[in-house]
Amino acid sequence: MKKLLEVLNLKTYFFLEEGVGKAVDDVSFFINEGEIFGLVGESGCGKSVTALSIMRLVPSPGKIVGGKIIFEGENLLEKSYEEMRDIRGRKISMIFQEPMVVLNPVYSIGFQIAEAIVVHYPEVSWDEAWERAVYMIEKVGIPNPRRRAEEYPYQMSGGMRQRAMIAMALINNPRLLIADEPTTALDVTVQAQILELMERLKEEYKASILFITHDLSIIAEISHRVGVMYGGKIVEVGDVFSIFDRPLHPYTFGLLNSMPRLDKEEKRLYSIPGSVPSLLSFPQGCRFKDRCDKAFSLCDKEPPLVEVESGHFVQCWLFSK
Amino acid sequence: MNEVLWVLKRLLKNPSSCLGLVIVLFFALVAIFAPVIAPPEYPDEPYLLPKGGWAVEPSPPSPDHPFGTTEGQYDIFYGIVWGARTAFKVGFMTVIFSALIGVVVGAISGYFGGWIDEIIMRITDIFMAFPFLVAAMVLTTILGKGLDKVMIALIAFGWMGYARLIRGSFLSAKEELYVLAAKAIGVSSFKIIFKHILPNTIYPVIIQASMSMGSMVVTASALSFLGVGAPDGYADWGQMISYARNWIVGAPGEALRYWYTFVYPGGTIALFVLGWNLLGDAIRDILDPKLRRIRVR
Amino acid sequence: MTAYILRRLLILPVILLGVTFLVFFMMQFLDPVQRLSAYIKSPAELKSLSADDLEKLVDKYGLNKPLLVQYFDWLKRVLRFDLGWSEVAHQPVRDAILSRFPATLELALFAVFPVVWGGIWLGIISAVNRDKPLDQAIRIFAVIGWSLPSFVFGILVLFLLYGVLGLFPPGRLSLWAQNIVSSPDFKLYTGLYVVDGILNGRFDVALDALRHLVGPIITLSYLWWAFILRITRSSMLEVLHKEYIVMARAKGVPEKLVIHRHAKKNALIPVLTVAGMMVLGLLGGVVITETIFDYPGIGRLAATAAQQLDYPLILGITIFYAFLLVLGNLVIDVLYAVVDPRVRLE
Repeated sequence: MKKLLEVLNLKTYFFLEEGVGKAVDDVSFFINEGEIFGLVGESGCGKSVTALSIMRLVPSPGKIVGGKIIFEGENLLEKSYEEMRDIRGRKISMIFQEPMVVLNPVYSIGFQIAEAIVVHYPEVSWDEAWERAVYMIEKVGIPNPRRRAEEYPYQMSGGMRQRAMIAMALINNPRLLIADEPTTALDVTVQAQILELMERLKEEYKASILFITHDLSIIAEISHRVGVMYGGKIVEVGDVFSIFDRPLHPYTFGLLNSMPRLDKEEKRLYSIPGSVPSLLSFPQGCRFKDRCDKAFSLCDKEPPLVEVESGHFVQCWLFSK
Repeated sequence: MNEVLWVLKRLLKNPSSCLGLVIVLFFALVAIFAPVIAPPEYPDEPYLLPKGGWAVEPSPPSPDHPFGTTEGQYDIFYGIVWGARTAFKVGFMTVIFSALIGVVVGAISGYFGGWIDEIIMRITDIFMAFPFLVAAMVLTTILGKGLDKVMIALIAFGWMGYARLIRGSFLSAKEELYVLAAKAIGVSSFKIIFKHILPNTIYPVIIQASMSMGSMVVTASALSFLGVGAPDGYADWGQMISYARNWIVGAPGEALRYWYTFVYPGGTIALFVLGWNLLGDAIRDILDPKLRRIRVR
Repeated sequence: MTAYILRRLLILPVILLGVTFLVFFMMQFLDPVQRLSAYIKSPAELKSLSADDLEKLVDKYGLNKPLLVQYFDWLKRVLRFDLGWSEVAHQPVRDAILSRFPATLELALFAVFPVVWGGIWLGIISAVNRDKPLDQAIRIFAVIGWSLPSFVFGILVLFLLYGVLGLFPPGRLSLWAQNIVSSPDFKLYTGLYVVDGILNGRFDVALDALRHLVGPIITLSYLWWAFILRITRSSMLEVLHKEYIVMARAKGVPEKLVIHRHAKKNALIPVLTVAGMMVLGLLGGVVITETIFDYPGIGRLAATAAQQLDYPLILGITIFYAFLLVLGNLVIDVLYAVVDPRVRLE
């Protein structure tokens, strides 16, 4: 399989008044063509910042301070503004968690979708772009597309808006779709529909997806490979089966155990002790050690990333000699 | 108390708010030590400007009159020093009383809601229908000259902003759990307002109050400038500028001849307002909970 | 939305009634004889009166009747725009206000563009270059403008433009131009001298009128920029942090369009209210600026009335201002709905 995207030693830091927040610290992973890669972790672990780093849209005071982002063989961090702008929305698209705040309230849905075409293909006339937008709106399962195209975001339900956003993201047939918690704000029934829509369109458009969520059950359902993030680091990567069947990192273990399952009978759900510390107050060495019940003396030093079985990496002293 | 220290620390960290604090403190010292800096000629009426003669034409700075004298030989230095007292008096009195009235009115309106709220808000609308300066001008004209009249006029048309602010906070605070809880265990309305809601809604009032110090003093001075505020010969910066007005164009071929009549009082009032504006801005930045949060995804 | 506007329209008479009552209430601080001046139709009525006759007039206008009766009597007159006689202007108050209105309107028309557009433009530049030297410079510029009282800065402008440069005099027209304008050949179509000058083919008069507008416009622009700039800047900064801006960038929209299409339209919605208030302020006449530049508009008239204790005139102007503000705010709210689809369709 060919790698579409490879993130190498990415470091994105936030330079705050109180100190430097290492939101993404030495993160490496890759996504194959046609693959859905799930990135999972609690809120504040750096998964959204990772996504924004790939788009080169990290908000200030954040800055990418190191690493490489190889996309189709080229390092995105070396692209000029204009080159990067051309990639955004055409080769790499992004959809966000809250379709309410992500769609511009003063422009119609159709306008916002058609705009995504015109900014990349100036030769396309506005009328034609509009027609394509209407076609795409229909494609994502919104009834009455012609009328809906003229409506404003707040006139639509949450599910509709998310569909509209997917239409906007896929309109230029991108190679990679980054989906940042695309179903979190939706009702469970709508969630399932949106997921199904995304899988279907991914097949049709032959795109890869970087799927970011805190919800392990979604990851289990749709992704091929999984990265588990904690405290700005990827602590475990592997294909979905080995991660779910043989979790190695105590954090992954905890996450899986705190999720209700039908195939195991348990009296009460496990919960990881403590809560995610703020970006500025992670301990030295392994960032999880204060919440880890297996921590020992070696954890005061930073653990290396080791391959335990083929394609299954973990960053924990328990597994490195 | 800790909160106050924390605010002070933040104020000193930022150069522009620091400058504001220094300016305001400087004027405060001038106002407090006015009797020492410029001993009054008539101790019973310290705000009356001493006259250095009867000539109409201003005279330039001299050892007797360090900033010169303005139209009618009023001493400019004396006017500026005692004018600082006037400015603080007007600023504090109008801001405190209009905030007080606004808080009470807004609290009643927001707490009781319903038709009481409807009536009070319409009355507020009526007061807001007048432009501030014009309303103050009319009321001062009707009440007669004098600083006390000016202050009454400024307070009469200055409370509405606070009332709306407090009402808004009340309406949202009412829905919150701690009020519902207090109500459920039968705490009286009065107690709920003063012990539970007000302390939680007072920050916006402090912000608004500190931001409006400058504009209140300017409006009062403007009234004096127009000749409807402080009585003739009273130590008031606005009035001193109105004395300069006839001389500002200078003499033929000598445009700058009477510069001192305008530069000293004009610079003083601008500096005073600048100090308060910088301070008010900084206090807003520090206390505003919306700006306090630092967003990191 | 229609319901909201309907509600506003229903409340409107209540507010206007309240406004008149408040003015009437303030009048009660005057003694009956002073109040009398608000009722008298012409100075002839006052001539050759002894103390007794004053009493008679007080009786005639019912100034010792119960307050509410007096109020409704007075209100009837106000509703007929009968606001009494102005000693200062030597004409009925209504005519005094109406005759000054073209001057104020002319200043407003020429000032509104530099004031509003300039402020918005500076605010956007400042927000886009946040914390860079340009932003710092604009903010210092703004905080100084915000702190300078209009009567200080206005005098400074007059001093520089007229005293030092001798270029832009106070007043509305030079004497020679005034003579042309008052001559019977010169037709007053609009009462705006710049426009009338052009219509009469007297470009020198139009230019002269324009020259006299420079000082007040500079003064108003700088002082009000500070205000509108701050609001535009903070609104723009807030909008630039919104997710839909990130989304627009993620779509590949060029930065220029992100700012001028996606951010600006949203950011200017709150600015609209302030801009609207400024237009209303200009239309009502700007008391201090007009006074300093000796510009014969409604603002200067109000100042003169207050100085000379011409009660009927100052009360009449106050009512005029309040009505203008109340009606104008309604118009602003309707405009708001036109711009913001969220309000329009709710």
